[in-house]
Amino acid sequence: MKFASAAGLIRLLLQQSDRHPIRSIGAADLQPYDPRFVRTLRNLGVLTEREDLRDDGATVFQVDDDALIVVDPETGACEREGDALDIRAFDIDIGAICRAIREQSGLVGPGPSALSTRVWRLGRYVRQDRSAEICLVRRLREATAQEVVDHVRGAIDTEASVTLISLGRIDLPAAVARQLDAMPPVSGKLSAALFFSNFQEGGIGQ
Amino acid sequence: MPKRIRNFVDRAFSRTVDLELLHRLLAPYLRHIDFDWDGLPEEDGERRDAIFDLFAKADMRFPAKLQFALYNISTLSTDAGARIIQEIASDAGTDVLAAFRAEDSADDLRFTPRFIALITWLDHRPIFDRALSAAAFLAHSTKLERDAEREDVDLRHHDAGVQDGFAEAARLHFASRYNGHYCEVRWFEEEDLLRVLILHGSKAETKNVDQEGTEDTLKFREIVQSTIEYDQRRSSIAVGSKSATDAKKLVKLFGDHVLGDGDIFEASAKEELYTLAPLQRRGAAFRFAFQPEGEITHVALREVRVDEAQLTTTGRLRRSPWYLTLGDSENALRRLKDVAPEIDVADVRIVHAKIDVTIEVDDSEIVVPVTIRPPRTVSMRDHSHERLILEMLEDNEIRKRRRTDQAAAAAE
Repeated sequence: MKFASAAGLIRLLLQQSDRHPIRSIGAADLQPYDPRFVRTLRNLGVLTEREDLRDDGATVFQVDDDALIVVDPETGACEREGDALDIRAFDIDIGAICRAIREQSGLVGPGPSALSTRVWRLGRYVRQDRSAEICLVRRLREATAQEVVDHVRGAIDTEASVTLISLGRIDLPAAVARQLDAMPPVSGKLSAALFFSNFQEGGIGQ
Repeated sequence: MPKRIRNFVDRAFSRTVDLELLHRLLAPYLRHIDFDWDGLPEEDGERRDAIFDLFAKADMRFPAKLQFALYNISTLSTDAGARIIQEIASDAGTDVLAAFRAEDSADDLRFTPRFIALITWLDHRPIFDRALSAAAFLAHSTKLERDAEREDVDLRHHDAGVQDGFAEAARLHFASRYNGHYCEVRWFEEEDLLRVLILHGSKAETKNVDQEGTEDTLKFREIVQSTIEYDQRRSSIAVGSKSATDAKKLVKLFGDHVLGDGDIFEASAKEELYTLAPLQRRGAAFRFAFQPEGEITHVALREVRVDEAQLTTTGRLRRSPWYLTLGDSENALRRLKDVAPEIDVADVRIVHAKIDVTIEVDDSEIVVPVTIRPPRTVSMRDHSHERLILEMLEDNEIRKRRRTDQAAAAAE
């Protein structure tokens, strides 16, 4: 059986992690992917399954022989779906993603730890005489870039460069960009290249 | 105690009701309810206390006809009920309060909605009955709305046999669904609105009741009201009914019998009639626009609920495991931005919005709470100002313009 590319699923996880609050992944979203890969992500703790939803605040759900019955208590209207995928969801654990990246990339030193709800310190990347602290940043946006940079500078007491990995696409403002040092691509030894496939990177000179 | 009587267990009512009117209402039943009117205390306060006790201790022993009268009177004993009575009376060239007006006083504090309902029931029964039918159209807070997919359809309800055919089809539906036999259909025309009132049975109910000191079981099938309103300007239909299944059936029957096409409303069952996209686009900066000199004087965004549900590529709604409901006295989106600044309103679904619409009526202001729940539902407790409110929602691009307007715009 042919399954969709695992990289596609990783990309989806990272995109959904970049939103606030972090979005859940619906059972229907996972259907195109190899169940063995999904199992691996569950074993890693990246995905955790929720109980089937009983209601969503407006409508009530009942599962009957795998079919989903959606009842609107206000109007009594009932709708029937052939399966219950719509109410089955998995939570993304951003901490588990950070652990996986750290482990697969051979990062060392302190981490992974949350510096804020948006910034995770993954660990230190060391190669020959160069090293950099790697941070994963959710919702790195033009308007918040300076705030994040200041926060990271205050939180990490190091002489080494700091690399921010944004989960989304961003054009940093010129004022922030001027503070950044050009860093060589860090993909070389980072075996979690899969995770990084959708990233934009920038290093901060300290 | 039956609800219809409970509505009269009210201090304000017993202290203020016109005793002569109440005597006239109760006179035929005094023997049945074991109430000695002539033996009431002389002093006004004590008389009224005795009347309060009468209703407070009332039970199912009240004769059915009296219960029916009290129920109907209480139905119209609201501000909206009084307004309907006075409008219908004025159309008929009648002043229901004429006999009670003092010559030197234009306004009388006795003229409460309950007083007006009571006097109309006693002295102007045809006007009362018409007002009761009209009030039925205000009773359903949520209506099933649909658009006809074509505009080139003529109403055929004046053709021979159409009204009877519709009534018979409705009767068959309710008879098969509830095994009920009662079904009455009334037709009303008003400018570009055709209204149909269907009185019909509902599911049988069983209650355990106190019957003169012994336990008894009462089985009954309540007669409920379903309403149909067809707006000829927009070729749109709105059906009020306790059951969504009945509402859908009535839409189909109306299309079939009155418009000659049972499927004419089918397409719009999947269309979006309401959207909160303007709120999502503008977020905290969103403001409702309304005519500065119009009857609407203020609109407050009292509540929003957001969640992460989204339509999948297959068109199904992936349900959200969380929702956030936030209220504010003036602008819930602005409050949301304060409370949860990280939430990007454009990146979540607004499940519903509740607004308070302030409307100027006869030199005073009333507030109508309205809930907007896309894609197809708007609820309001008081439908008296429905058109005004829906037009305001259209102006704000929350209610999608009907085809007629789109066609007119295209023609320009």
